[in-house]
Amino acid sequence: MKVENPAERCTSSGGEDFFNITPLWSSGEGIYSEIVLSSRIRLARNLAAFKFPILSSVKEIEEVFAFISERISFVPIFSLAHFSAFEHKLLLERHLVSNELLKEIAGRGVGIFSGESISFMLNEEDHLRMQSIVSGLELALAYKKLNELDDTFSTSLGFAFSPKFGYLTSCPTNVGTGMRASVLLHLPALVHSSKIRKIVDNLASIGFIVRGFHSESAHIEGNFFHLSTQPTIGRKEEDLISGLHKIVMQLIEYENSARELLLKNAHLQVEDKIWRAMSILKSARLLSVDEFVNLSSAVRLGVGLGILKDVKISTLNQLLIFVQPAHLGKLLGEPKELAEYDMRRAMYVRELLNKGG
Amino acid sequence: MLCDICHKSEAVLIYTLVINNQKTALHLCEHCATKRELINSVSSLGLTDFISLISYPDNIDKLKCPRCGLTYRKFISCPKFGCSDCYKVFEKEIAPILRRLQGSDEHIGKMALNSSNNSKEKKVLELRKRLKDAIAGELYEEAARIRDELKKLKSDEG
Ligand SMILES: [Zn+2]
Ligand SMILES: [Zn+2]
Repeated sequence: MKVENPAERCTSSGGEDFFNITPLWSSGEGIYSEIVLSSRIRLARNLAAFKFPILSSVKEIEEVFAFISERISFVPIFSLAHFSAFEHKLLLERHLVSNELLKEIAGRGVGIFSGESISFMLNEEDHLRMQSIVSGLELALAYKKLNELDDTFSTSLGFAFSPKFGYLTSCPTNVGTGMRASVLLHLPALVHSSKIRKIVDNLASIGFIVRGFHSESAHIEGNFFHLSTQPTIGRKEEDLISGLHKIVMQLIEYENSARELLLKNAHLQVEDKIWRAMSILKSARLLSVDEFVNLSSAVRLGVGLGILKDVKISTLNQLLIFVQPAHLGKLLGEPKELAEYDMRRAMYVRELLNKGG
Repeated sequence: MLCDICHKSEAVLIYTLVINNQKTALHLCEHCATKRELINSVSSLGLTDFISLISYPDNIDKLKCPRCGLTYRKFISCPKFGCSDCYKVFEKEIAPILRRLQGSDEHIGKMALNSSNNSKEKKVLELRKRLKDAIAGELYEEAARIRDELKKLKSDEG
């Protein structure tokens, strides 16, 4: 195994801690990044020579880990066992691991590189779950990055593949391309106009999945949505991706016309809501995650409408990551009382926004 | 009727989902309906749909993957496969489900780089690994078959 000490690898050249570094996808670059926060591609892959994790013993799973680590020496791979339970929470908040992966530690691992724009989980439901995530609406770019890695991995690892069914996955609902393409969307005006329900229904009927901000739960927070492709077999990757891209372009158009209408009918109320949200974030002494996410949506809308000119999308993205409980704990020294979180969250948000970021 | 999401409160409204042109009804309580107001929980329904379409063939008790030992009965209770061979063993059972759920059971996307020119070395590696699995699982017939295949590969080498 090439990488044994994650602490060493997790340190950037500047000596800064890995978890204090802002992931590349939050840069706010890429097109429509106020409405489309990020584009993500996920590929599920298995090794032909090994049984799937679900029916493997711990020993077999550890063999898979060793097999992959030996052959993929150019990518830093960390065993989950090398992280503390607290760091597992950080990885989870970064979307670098899933709850499912954290259920077991032995033989489970994670590979992270390119400023987190590419990562993979080892021995979750499938041997490999690879993902690439980029800022803005850039699905094709995200796929291009991951596709190259997929080819390299395929040559050195030998993926389970059948000419009929395609890439073989543990869950038959992923078989074929093993791919899911998704975007994280911010659609405040559509939610306000209550047109969103009909749109969501229509999206479901044509094979798209809509979920809330935390993709593992279905709750809506702050007008943020995950939209992803559902079919995996009988379609080409490129077609699935361009299909999602087209839908997103349409949603952006709907959102923009809903915003125009909103401004036309209630300009002062909209402005008032945005400025109030900004003032609360700049001065509150206690902030829950939910409250922050909702207020940051209003501020984000303010940036999109050109009402707030001195806030950067990258700052809002960064805040969405760092106000989560584990990140907050890490940044400010692990608080002892749970109640301290809201206080420290408010402090952190104030600092970043008052900096004029 | 209890709410389909929390299974605690009484359901007060029916939420209709359309998945691949098929209607599914979700019964929700006030609380869950508001919380999930705009969300259709299609995500989890992907697998739920799959389960609802599973068939029960006559030879159900004989259906078993020789490599990983997964029985069709176990697959029905938890529809996840144990190894890549399961797709061959249960092909007849899952192909129609895929056709109904996704409109197709034929992969037309990217081909794995390793599939076309599977080098002999890798093939041998895979067979050895599978031989080990078979012996560990006391599947001696399967083990004998793999051993023959390995012998044949070696004799091809000349
Ligand atoms: Zn309920
Ligand atoms: Zn099997």
